[in-house]
Amino acid sequence: MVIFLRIELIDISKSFGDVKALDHVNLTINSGEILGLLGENGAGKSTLMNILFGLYRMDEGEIRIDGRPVRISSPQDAISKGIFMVHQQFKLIPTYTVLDNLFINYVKGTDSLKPRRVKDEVRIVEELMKSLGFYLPLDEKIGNLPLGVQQRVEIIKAFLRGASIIILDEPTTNLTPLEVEELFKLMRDLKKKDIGFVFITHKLREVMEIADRVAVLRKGRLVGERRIHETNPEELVEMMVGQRIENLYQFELKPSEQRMEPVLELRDVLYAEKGILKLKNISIRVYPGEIYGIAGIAGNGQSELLNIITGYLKPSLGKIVFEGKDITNTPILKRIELGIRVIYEDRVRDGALPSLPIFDNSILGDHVFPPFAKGKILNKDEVSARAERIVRIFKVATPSIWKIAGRLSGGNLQKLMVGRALDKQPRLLVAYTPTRGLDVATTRFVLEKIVEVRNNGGAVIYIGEDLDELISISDRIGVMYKGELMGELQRKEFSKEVIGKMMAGYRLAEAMSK
Amino acid sequence: MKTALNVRVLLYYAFALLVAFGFMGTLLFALGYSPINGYATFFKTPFMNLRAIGLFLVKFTSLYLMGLAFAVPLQARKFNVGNEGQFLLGAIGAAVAGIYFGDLPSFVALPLGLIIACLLGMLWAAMPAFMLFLFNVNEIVSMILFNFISFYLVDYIALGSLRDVFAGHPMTIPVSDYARIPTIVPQTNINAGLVIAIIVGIAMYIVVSRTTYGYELRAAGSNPIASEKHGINVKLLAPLSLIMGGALAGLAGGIEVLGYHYRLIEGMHGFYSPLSIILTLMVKGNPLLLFLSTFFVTLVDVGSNALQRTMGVPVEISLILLGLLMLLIMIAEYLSERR
Repeated sequence: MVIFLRIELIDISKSFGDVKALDHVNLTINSGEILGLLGENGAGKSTLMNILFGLYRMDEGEIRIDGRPVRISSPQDAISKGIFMVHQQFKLIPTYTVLDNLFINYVKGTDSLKPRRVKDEVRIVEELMKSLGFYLPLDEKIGNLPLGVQQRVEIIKAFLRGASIIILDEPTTNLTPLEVEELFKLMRDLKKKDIGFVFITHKLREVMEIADRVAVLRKGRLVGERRIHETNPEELVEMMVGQRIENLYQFELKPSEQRMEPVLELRDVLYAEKGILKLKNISIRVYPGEIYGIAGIAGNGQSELLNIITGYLKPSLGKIVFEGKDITNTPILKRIELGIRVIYEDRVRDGALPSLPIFDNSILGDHVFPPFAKGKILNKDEVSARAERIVRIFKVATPSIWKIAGRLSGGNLQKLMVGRALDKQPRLLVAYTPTRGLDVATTRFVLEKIVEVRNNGGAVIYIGEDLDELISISDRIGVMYKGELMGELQRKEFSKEVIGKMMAGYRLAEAMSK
Repeated sequence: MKTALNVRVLLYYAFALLVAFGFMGTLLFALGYSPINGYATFFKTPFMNLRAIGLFLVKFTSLYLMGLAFAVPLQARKFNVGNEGQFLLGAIGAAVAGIYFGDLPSFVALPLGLIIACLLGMLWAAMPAFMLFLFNVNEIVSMILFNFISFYLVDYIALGSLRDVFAGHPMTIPVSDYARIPTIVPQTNINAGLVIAIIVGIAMYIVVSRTTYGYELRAAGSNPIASEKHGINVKLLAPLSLIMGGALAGLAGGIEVLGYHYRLIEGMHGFYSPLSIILTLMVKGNPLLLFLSTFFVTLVDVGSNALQRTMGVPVEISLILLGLLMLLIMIAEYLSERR
């Protein structure tokens, strides 16, 4: 194992063309410590770490390990010095087992031709699992495992390889809250074994929870460094965004008018897939001018609920009523025409046309309706106008509406998807974690836009995994657990504790009493 | 469906062409032929006289329509490799109709022949398309098999009761004069089929880029899951696009029979299908750019035939050239997309 105490990054600068990605950044990384590296999208966090990992070459500056200057010109260099990086896209082989993946390239040079000692390998991992208290299914193929487990394999692989510093690039983006907890536990345990972590993120809460120290980058400059107990979220946001964002999670919810007809009513909706019950007797009413939040851990029926409302799935039993009309058997396009808009959870899979330009992407679902289509003919001017409007209002960073959507960054693509859903005031908006992967300022912006839909009299169903977000914008919250609605809370009754218990399977009354 | 055409991109493509033809000269030189004579033969023969231009345009027409037959389903990411069989079925339909309905007046016999050609092409595409729709049978496999059936169907007709017994090669007797597509330049093979191809090509461009149907095709090709979630019937759309391709390939066969050969000839499909796939992929199925790529591919094809006839250079040089060109175009694309 390579053991060292500190890495110093001194005066690092890096430009891409005319863009100064890093401007004389100084940073110290210690083993046995978790360093949170905060910043908005494009602040230079990943660039800095890619330089340390040998993927990019710096223009100026110096890296020192334990005081001695070093040159890191490739990931192999970095690894040999005990520095590992876990990217958002894992570098694992999906068709190999966990054990194979852990020990690929484990021995270097000519030794790699010798037969593997599988028994020894299993023993090493099992001992480690016992001492750290985690579990990996060693014989399972990587491709069959959830992302959280794959990530654990990456981290353990780095540990077995003798890492002193492990860089995690936005590690929680694709994880469920439970998986995040497990990741944090593993990080704390490895910290005790003197491993240092660099935790790249823009999620404040996670930094506050796990980091010992935090460094904030903004537009390529180091804005500041704090010990975690000496700072607070408000200060960090200000450092990240560069201005004070008052009350990040406070929105102006105009008082709703008298309860009228519900916009959407689900009556005893039941849905089964391949003999497995996914939704059990769900009954929900959503009124105009209301945000109905749905809390729950991912995979408890939220996707099915969304797809049933859009018409992609047909309920096995039960009725869907929209503005007084039964739409249980109404096809998708007809529902879009009625004013049901959706922001899907997986923007690339469910929302985008990656090989087509923004132009085409801006009317998916509206492409058969006026003004975008006159009969069967597309109205190019109207489509362009909408695409331009979305780009302008939702601040999609692009040279033109002819840019291929698949080449937009994740945040910009998400803005495009949100913009498409909101370009025309929806009667009903169904949004599933529309802020996932967005930075602080953009998250705030998207939530404001959704609140605007509500304040203009639209009904919103907001399916979220982030309780702060849900609590801040919802008028009511229903909690789902294993396809069932555990109960509904009114705004004045919101409590993270109660909702958390319901997410774990307690009914409303039980959760309140305990 | 806007193609970003700027000067830089054009330069890359020009460079690709230059390298490919430069390589051809080098190859000729290495094989002991004079590159100068080679180039002269290659570029001059196709346009030597009206007759040569006529032959060039006949080939151009067929290749263009075949390319279109591949390009339309390509929008939905379906590979219509069955355009060969569809072409032959169209040819069969046109020949049989041209013989049997030959005593009808021309304004009936000719459209009838072309319509039957389209319908048979559609039918030939429809069977694999239905298997795709109903049983999710891979359309590439089934269409290749249908191509084989079509070869023997041609034999069956060309050696059957319609056989021209005086010909050495399997072919039918000629179609009636009334069913023939009129030539537009006397003393040449330049016929109205070219005009039909151009009109159909422009129409297809409008269908693909300006109609909701074309939009849905492109959307389904780009992301079937997202398209379906936004109300596009992807399952139905893909087979439909193949059937549409079938009509276009059938039309190509019909025009070649009624406008040039005036009969069904065994083996008349030549290398149309593989060439049409190359020329379509070169321009990613854009029906307008397809005119350009078809022009080049026809030039290479006719030019290398001329090289073989006059200088004895093996005709395979055309395949080398096209393969190289395709590769270079892919590199050019990569370079022009990189920032």
